[in-house]
Amino acid sequence: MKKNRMIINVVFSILFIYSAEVDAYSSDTVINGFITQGYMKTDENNFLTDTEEGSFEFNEMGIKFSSAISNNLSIGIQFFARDIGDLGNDDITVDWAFADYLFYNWAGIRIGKIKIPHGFYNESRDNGIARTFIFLPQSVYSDPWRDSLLTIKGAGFYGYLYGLSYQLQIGIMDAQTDGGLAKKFNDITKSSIESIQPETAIIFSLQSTDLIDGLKIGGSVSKWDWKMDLTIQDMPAKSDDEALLWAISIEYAKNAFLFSAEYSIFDVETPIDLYVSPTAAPYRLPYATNNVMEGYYGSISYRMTDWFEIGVYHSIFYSNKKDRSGKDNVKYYNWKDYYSWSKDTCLTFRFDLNQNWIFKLEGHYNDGFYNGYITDNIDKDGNEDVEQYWYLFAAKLMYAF
Amino acid sequence: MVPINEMKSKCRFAIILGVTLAIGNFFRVPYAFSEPIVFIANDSVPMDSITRKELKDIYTGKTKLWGNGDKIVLTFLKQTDVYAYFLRNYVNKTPTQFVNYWRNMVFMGKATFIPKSIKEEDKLMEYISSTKGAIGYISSNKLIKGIKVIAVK
Repeated sequence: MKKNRMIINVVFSILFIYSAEVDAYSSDTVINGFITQGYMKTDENNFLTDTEEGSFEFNEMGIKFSSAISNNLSIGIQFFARDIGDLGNDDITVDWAFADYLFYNWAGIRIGKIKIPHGFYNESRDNGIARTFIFLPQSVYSDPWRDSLLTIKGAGFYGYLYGLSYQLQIGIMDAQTDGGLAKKFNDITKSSIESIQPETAIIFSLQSTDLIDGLKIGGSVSKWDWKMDLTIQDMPAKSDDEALLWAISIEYAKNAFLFSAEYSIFDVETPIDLYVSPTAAPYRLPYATNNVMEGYYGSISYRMTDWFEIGVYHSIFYSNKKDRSGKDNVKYYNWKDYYSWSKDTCLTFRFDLNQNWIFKLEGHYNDGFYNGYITDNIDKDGNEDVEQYWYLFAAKLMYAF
Repeated sequence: MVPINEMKSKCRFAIILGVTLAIGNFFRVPYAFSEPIVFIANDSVPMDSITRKELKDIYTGKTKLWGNGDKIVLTFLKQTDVYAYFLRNYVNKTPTQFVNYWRNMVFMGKATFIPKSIKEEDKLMEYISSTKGAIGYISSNKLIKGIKVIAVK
């Protein structure tokens, strides 16, 4: 980790110096980058990292190289690193990398590692440059699921015609055994994921802009399949999983206001077969077979001056739409009922200090704890120590060039 | 019956929203500049007139190619008042929002670079007249010679 940090620091130092010499507006190879450093503090519960004590383990950085080869062809790659608790640890990853050929405005293709268009904001969640908030509403953009639902490796068709933007992608998901999805699965089932084998995923999104001036509506749907090898209480297990994720979104910009609302369903089938002995038939665990996760939010942002913006949102997430009160999870997982939902009211102040520096302050009042990790909240005696109601304060400073 | 904590949560949201809007109205700074602008383009651009919707699609990167297949080359006159007027009336963004919009496009991989901005009108016209597929705007009180003017419908 220290080695990675050193490499990142050296690369960024060189690029910040170099960028002053580069014509950032030329159509030759162009370098852009961003770096953020945040701080989080909660009154109760550790959220993603040791926030009860207050934590600076909350940073992201990206550097992008791109070039327009011809009128129609461009290529680019973005390296990315982040650190938030156990996730990321500043390991440098390829955030996206693809070749893009645009035949007509209505027909283009991309091949490589491509961002997934879930909702309006999934493709831009790595950089908080355009949005008001530090945290996107967790009901639709859950941080534990972030690593796995950010990109696919494959190909995409896209275009824009008569006010409609569309994307169709096919490929495989980017799931890691040390990623947020694996940690969340471990958190729920008390298992350990040994390997993940992603299978073909297909994604489609459609957005309509300016039906009336400033109005954008859209929808996205994706189908995912993967297999997992697990260990549960020292016994091997296998899971053959599939998920259907969809979202509908609306955004309306009027004068200095931006109104957004999104509704998302994540229908996940995760049947687990436990191999109690090498000779016996596998035993299908009675839980974790089907969850229909439901999330929605409404947000308002208001740009008061060119340098100051304020935003609020209210976000609600249920881990099982069929069991919003969490009774089944109490029964099967021995959870407290409020582990099954996350309800979040957020207030953010955004300051654009100049065109390169952005500073954000954010407060959250939370009810429930689905979007955190229970394993981050075990007390000295080995007991779960999670409160239902808790506050989160976050601050983030960002530089982009 | 609505649980008391859920009611509290809703009340809290309503209060925060009310305070937000009140503070917003207090701070809001109106734009005073109202000078019209003129759109100009390179001779290769296969259009003599354009709608506001088409302009918005071009300046937000949704439309990237002209009808003849040439790449659209965006330019901006960076003079403060003209720039702010253009962004507010044609793109519905403030200057900072607009730069961040394009940065976001760049970091998503949907744009190769942030469009070219030039501070002086003469240099902008020179660049547009010599660059295939280029489009831009200047203030209407500028004398325009030897460059294609695009009418906004």
